[in-house]
Amino acid sequence: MGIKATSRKKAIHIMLVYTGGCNGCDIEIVNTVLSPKFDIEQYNVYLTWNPREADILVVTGPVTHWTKKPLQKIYEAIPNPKLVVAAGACALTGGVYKNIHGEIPSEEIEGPVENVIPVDAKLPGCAVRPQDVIAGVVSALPLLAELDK
Amino acid sequence: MYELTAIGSIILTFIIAGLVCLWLPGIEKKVEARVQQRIGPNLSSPGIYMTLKFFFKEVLSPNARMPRVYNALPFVILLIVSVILIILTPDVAIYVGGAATSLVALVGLLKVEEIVYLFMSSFSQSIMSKTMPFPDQSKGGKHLDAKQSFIEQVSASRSLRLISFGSLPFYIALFIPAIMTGSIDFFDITLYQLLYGPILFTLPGILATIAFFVGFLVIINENPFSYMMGHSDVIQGPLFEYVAKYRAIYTMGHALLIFVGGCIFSTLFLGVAPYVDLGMLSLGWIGVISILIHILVPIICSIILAAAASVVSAFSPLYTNREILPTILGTSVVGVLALVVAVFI
Amino acid sequence: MVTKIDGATTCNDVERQVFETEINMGTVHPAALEPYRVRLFIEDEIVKDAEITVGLNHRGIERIMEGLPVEKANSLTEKVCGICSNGHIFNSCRAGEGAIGIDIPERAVYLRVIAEELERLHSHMLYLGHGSEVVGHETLCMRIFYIRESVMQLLFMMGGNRVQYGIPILGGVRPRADLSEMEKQKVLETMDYIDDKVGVFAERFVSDPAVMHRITGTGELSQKQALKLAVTGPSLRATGYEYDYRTKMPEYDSIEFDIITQDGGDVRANILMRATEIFESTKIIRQAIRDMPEGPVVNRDWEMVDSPVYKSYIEVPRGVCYHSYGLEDGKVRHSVIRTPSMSNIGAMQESCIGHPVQDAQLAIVSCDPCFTCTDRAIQIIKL
Repeated sequence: MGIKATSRKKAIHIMLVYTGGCNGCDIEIVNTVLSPKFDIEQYNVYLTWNPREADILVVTGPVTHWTKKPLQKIYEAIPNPKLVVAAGACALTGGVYKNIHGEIPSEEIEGPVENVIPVDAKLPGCAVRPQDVIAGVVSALPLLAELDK
Repeated sequence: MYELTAIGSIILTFIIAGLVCLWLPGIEKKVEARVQQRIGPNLSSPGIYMTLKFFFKEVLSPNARMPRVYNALPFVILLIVSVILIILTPDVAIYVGGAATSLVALVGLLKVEEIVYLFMSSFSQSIMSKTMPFPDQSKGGKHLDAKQSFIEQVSASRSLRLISFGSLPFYIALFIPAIMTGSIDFFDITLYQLLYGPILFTLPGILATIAFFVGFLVIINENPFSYMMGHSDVIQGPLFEYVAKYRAIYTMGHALLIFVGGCIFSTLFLGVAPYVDLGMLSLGWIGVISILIHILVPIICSIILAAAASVVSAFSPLYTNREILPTILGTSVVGVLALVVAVFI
Repeated sequence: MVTKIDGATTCNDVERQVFETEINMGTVHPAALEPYRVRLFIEDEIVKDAEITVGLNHRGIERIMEGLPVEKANSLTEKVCGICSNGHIFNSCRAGEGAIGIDIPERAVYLRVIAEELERLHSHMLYLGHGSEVVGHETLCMRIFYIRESVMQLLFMMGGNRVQYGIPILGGVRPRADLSEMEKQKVLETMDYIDDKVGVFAERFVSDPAVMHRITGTGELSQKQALKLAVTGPSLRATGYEYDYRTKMPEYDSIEFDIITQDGGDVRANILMRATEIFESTKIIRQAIRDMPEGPVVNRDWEMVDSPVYKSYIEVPRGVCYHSYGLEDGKVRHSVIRTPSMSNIGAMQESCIGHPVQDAQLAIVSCDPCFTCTDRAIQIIKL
């Protein structure tokens, strides 16, 4: 493994963008970082709020109409190589908000996240458990090391 | 021949400084994590690997006024800090001498380093505030004619405050060795301490150390005084738009600044300049011990400084104007007290 | 027509002045987490006026609920909010039960009270953690998140999920959420642990001079202003006004507890009030476990009837929450939800006036905003 891949694996910045939904996934992810019980920093993963610094973008929530453009802007602001992790049922499928009454889609939901920006890893769960967040972010690391842009 | 030895010594000093300083952010993070009862990142991760990682990222043009000047500012910081490290070495004092190797130059360079942050925060125009796409349907409510500005403007005015009075205790503390030795020249200060013992172990020295430490926290923007880049409102303030290698340069400059802080302390208060004097090798084993002292004491000083800074930052909230003013005033009074004691001792 | 009421400034008074600079934060911001925008009108870093804009989070849950069977609609109300999810499903079950006329077994009532108080515990601890984070004290934030984890484990034990546990159902509680003797013991042990640890935390918090100086006098809201803005819940109680809707709920009839109030209405009062309420909640849970009778936990013996609009109010961690149901053919024909953060927005805007930008964020956070709850009956305009 070269020095490039090693350095990418040994220091990871994740950025959390919350695009609607119910707040549950969001708090569980912040809990993963702030609670000493889970402590994502021991895997050399840091939470940041600056897209210029981030490597992994964690998106929660179905993308509501008004959060679509901010999400795209933030995605564009992240320098390559970058990964997108969609966390929670809403980010993966649109959740209960997207599919009202069978097949009629809701007009207010632009999601799932895949429709807006490319997604590399998916964390299922309503809401995602902190253990899943750690497992998902850590499983995305080999992808990050292999990306060569 | 002497010139060649001196240049070799300075290069060796720089290599050692570069190797050591990148571990300091890791030490800071680790100490903070242990205070918070968690494991925390690897020692090598926040310094070495983070810098390397940023070098390997794609360079995007920053959303800033005058992007090229904005991107050049981290180099300015790195340059200033390197120059400070150079002027601390005794050989330069012999060849250059005068005001260039005195406290005046040190104060001037550090002031320029502080002013760089003002430029940074006035140039930066991040997408997190004004340019964030927003429908603004309810704008009909209040103050239609208000001019929107970026959140970095707030940190620009805060950096002005820090420049004007924030680092005052640090500069007061710097002049206590000058008063005690009767000279502002680094060479004389170290010589005095070689003869009469370190200033740190005198009463004004201890008082000055307190002022030095608090002032240094302001200079490196550590937590209680980091409201210029406090993440609860301005997120990262001046550093917001640095991408890839420019961010890496900034990380290196900042780490080197912490190391240089330790070096300044060991020079002024312990009388040990950070310097690998290759000429001492001719003295045999005494020379080797002297070289080791000159390497190890600044390193230990900077590690203690970094660890103490992170302990303080873990145990204190972010200060606003209401708290910064009394804190600075109090520590300045301690510094002035040290000055008075130093004059009458 | 602008009128002045006993010296209290109205919004219109401020509007006449012209402010030059506007700083806006959002929609993605670390102090907010949720997508909303704060517009601060500042003069030399002092906030002169503030405006909070919500509506980006609108998902139209009430519209989705219309036409669904009541049971399904109830489980949807849980998705309104990830922090007070139990409050919403509890209240919508109450509304549905009232509309249809279902009697609830007594054991189920106690279990609902336990779930609601556990939720209040974790919500208040989240508040304390978020407050410490915005104050800038990460260590205190981590300490309280560590204590909060024990409550999350209890909720996981009862409902089988960490965030949306879905304990109440129409006619009682889910049989899975029933507490066995061993589980009761575990709840009691955790209550002792929380009393102990939160006590230590509160002492540590109060004895820190820098933190106390930072939060004392910040974000002040007078009682008169709070009443005028129709502030509810802990934010109102922190101004010294004794009002807790739990005293009017039949579920809490047999339970003794005090209404906690603090004077001042600043961030300090808010934080201390919630820290003290944690002890009241543990007291309520202990009483509920002691008094809980044996018996069934769910009443399945009911017939669906049509009903006009039925309203229900409960006290959730952030204040008074309102749900209403109108039923027809077993389907929801009408549903309105009003969450406490909706009425607290006024308090957030008022309390940050006159403080530096950093304290303005703190003042907003001190009213415990939850805009995911709030974004519902607001019209979405497509451009």
